[in-house]
Amino acid sequence: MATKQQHIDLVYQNLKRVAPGFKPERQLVEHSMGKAWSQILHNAFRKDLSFLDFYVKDYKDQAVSQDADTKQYYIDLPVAIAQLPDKSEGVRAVLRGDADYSTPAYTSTQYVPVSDTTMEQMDSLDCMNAESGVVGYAVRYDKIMFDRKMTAILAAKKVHLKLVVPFDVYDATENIPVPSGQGENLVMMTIQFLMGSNQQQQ
Amino acid sequence: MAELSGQKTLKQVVDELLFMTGQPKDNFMRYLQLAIRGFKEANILHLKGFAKVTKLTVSDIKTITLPDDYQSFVGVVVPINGEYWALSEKETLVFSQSGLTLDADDGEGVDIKDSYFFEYISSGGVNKEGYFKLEEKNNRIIINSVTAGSEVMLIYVSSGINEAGTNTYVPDRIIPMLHSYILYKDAMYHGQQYQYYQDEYHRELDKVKYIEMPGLSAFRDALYQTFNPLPKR
Repeated sequence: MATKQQHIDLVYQNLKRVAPGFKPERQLVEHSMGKAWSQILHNAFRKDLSFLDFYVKDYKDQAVSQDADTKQYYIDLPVAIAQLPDKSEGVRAVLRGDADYSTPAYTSTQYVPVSDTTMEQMDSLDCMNAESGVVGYAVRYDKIMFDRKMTAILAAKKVHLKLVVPFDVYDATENIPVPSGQGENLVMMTIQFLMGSNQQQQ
Repeated sequence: MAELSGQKTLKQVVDELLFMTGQPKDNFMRYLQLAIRGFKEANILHLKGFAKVTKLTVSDIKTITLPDDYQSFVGVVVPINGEYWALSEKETLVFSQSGLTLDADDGEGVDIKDSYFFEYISSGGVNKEGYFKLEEKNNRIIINSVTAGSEVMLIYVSSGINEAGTNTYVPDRIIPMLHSYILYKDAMYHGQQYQYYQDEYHRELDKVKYIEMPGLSAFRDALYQTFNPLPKR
């Protein structure tokens, strides 16, 4: 696996051969590579998002807040998330902040993804009352909203988020996972995006 | 190591299905609702042991109120010599017009007469323990020939769902049937080819029905009840 900086360096090296004299700013290369990486991820996993676990980053001890007017519990996402083709988008899991994996009951509270519309529809249904320890959440671009099963006690325990984050959230020294066999494609797609912007500039 | 529990929560039922079919958690809440629907249907139609008995006090206007988890009616009974004796259903009972008081002048709440005797060839009989009329639209049962303030037992099929936010437990033996019910209804609601899932559901349902069938001793008892000690010819 290569770091973000190594991926970017590889693009510059290839550009020397493909488009001599064209030396775009690093920020533009990073942005283009981010677009290419998102597209590759989307194409690779649109049929089975369960393989995305490999791309997840952990964000522990995330505080849960409560809206003063609506009393709805929510979390401000600590970073931007990748957009993926299902309800939970880049939020691959929400777990209890105090989950202890050494005990069999660490999953005693389950957070399950629902859409905002579904949350409203299911409010009066039996599924909201029949089981304890099931809390629905809806993902927005910068927030996670919880249904009314979220309690002050659960909120106080905070949550552990497993997020798939966009390319630009990674530090230059961090390893970037790329779907197997797509490394070459990542560089070529990035160059295509850059050449497109280069033609527009000219 | 102890044996695994014979009871599972609805949450476990849905988790098991998602795990076995490799489906994402997105479907959890929808499947949970379908599991509840399937479990309620099984309680009413197929499972034994889910009828509940509750003691209710007859009100001043001679009614009893249906419990919150009431799903379908089995009987209104009173205990006599270690057995429940059922009150009879009668659609013609006269009930309060105001819904608040009983006016005896209009025959409201008046006990059905023990018997009308004209001559010895008259036919018919009365249930001396009382009568009832089901009035689900007003969430109550009208009772007759039972004194206000006394107690009767209501036998009913409960929803089986704990509405107080606690876990709902289902017997492990019906889980394959619930899984196939969820998949069948899911395919049907999504306009997919659901025939296969429907057949699979009925196969699993047949297994449950087979388990719930009365045993040989129950049939034998029913037969013995028709016997008497008189000499047989």
